[in-house]
Amino acid sequence: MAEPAATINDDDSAVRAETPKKELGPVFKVAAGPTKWLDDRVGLAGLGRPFFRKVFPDHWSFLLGEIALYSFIVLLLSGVFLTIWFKPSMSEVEYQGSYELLRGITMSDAYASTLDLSFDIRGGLLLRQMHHWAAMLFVAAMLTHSLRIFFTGAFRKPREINWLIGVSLIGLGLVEGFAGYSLPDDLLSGTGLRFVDGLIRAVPLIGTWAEFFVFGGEFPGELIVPRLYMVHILLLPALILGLIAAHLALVVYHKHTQYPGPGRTNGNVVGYPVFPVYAAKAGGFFLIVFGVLTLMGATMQINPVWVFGPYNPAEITAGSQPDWYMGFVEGAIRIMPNWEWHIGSTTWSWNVFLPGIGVMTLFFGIMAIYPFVEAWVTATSVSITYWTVPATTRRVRRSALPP
Amino acid sequence: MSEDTTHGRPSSEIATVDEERYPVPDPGLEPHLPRLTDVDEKAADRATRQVATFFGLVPVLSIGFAVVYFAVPGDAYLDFGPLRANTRNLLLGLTFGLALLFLGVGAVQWARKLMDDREMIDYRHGASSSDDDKTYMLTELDKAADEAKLTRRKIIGRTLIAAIATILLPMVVGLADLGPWPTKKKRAETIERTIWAPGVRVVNDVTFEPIKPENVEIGQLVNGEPANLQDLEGSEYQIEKAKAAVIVVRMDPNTITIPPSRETWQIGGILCYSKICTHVGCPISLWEQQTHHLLCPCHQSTFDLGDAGLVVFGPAKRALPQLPIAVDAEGYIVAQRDFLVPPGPSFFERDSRNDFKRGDN
Repeated sequence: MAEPAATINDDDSAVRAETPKKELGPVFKVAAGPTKWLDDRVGLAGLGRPFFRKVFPDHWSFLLGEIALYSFIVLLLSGVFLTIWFKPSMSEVEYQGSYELLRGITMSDAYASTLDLSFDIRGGLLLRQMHHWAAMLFVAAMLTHSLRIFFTGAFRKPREINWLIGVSLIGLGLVEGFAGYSLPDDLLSGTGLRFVDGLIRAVPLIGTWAEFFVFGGEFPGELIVPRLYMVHILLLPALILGLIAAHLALVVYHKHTQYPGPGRTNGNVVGYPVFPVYAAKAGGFFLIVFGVLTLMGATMQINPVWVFGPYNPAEITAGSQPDWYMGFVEGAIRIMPNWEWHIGSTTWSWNVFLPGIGVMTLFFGIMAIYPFVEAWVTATSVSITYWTVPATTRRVRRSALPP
Repeated sequence: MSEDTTHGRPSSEIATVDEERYPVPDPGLEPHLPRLTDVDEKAADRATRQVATFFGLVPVLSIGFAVVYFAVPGDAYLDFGPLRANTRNLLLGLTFGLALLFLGVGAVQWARKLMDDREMIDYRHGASSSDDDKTYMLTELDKAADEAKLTRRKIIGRTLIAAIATILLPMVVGLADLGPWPTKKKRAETIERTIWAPGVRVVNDVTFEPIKPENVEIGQLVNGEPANLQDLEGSEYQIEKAKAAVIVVRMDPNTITIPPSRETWQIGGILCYSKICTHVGCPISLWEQQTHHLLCPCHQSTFDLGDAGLVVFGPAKRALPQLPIAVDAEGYIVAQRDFLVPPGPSFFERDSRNDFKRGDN
């Protein structure tokens, strides 16, 4: 005799009838009209439904990428403020602002307007320093975020494309940072440009052409600041913004990786929903990053261009060096032996080209191909969703996972 | 874990069981442990007060920012021991920064202490599309190609590819005027020459005063420019200055090596070299008087001015170009001619056979 089957009482209509419909709060009542208006036109509820309760796992290391994103937003906001007063021009003016030590000195419009921002525009110095600190934090957060991704194996299938987007973002971030600190046309930024001029020239075959095309003739000319300005405030931010959008869209599509633990399997993601917990945590964290950068801008001096003076191609400050994130290139340039070929009437500047352009290409090239090399070496082709080391992925492969 | 809220359905594409990785059966999610604020109403009240206080301070600080903006003058400074801060910058940043920070901290505290902290489960899906989708797309793509008549009239497809490839050409050609073309003639007029010419005086680079040999002491280094630089303005001035900058040094003739070919380039131990580093073009100016070494602060290339400007250390390859000098009728130092080789960093078309090399005379 068969045991009686367990019965499930799914007839809860009686219970439902007794529960009165929940009264909506005042906010809902006020928002009801506009929300319906919008929903009738764009299908708001349908759009939001897949994301409203989307689950994100919780771990402090997941905040590194968020810091990068938020510092980029701070860069956009503070950058817009700076463009209101900055004049991207190398035309010469006599400085008559309130910084007495430089009054009466001939300098470029770019440098003079940077001094105005620092001394005469209320809040200008704060925003300038925030912008520079945010740039530092942006690059630092991207680099540490990439280390998190690397050491948790989160670059593996199916996330290789997102890894490549991330590598591109780091590369663009470095160039964007360089373009930015070259704009004020102070002695330090001009020295950086002088270096770039030497670097571009050193490219075999096309170097001189590239130099003349970038600078609009000989160094320094009068076009490099306006050109870098366009690159810095339009071209690169647009690219970075587009790549960030793609980066985030892919994170949403693939769902977040997670650390292993009870109940955390290869097929699920365990964590808190976007609303309300992550909206509050991530929104709050954005404001914390914004706030900390503002406090840094208020209390920690950075790039005091008035100390360096206007750019003068015959002068230099001792200890001139780029922002820290270009240090690996700068260091390579310094320790490189002085190899230079003089063949016929040509000069091949390996001493500048190899460490300058070669090291950067090598760094980003290795990062870019690593996921594919690793997949090839470990013969892995399964989708990995949580923390693993290559040796473990081989074992996962034999389990019930689909290809 | 029956009370856990789940979102979506388990995917059939990614298995949830991973018995080989975990020999022990997956115990499932750990039970939810209530926080103090979940069980103790007083703790929850305390957390509520904290959040409300953080939020409540934001308007105060925002108004404070506005007050500082209009009330604090720009030339007021605050001293903190050895540190000095612009009062307005500091207060604007403190009010705005703390307002942002408190808003953020309040929101995070709210989420951590008061919002429901039961974890939810989402099921993953494979990244690839379903077989159904793939089949549909392939069939429809085939149909679409037919409907566009591409399969019958192949010439359209072929010419289209050629058209798209060549439409880029105007965009590239349009950039050909980015700068002047460095042809052989152009190079000879620009990067391969400077404004030094026979009889041009060497002047101090700040005061533009000419220099007499008797005013230069042994061991002294003077930063110089050609006197005719003053005739230029704007970018032309900067371009020529970037190439023509020189250093004039006087060394004891008995302690230095002057190659026979350069015997007539100097005035009793006063030598003139390009100031622009042959590595990447920084102006070199760190002078070691006793060793006659000149160090570039950018990448530490070191040149021996007592030995024809040859490189003794660092990444630079070529010696510093030397400018032949003489004394004019009024007793001032002048150039005999332009540099024999282009000063500054290397470029591909640079003929570096005539640069001074170790062992040359």
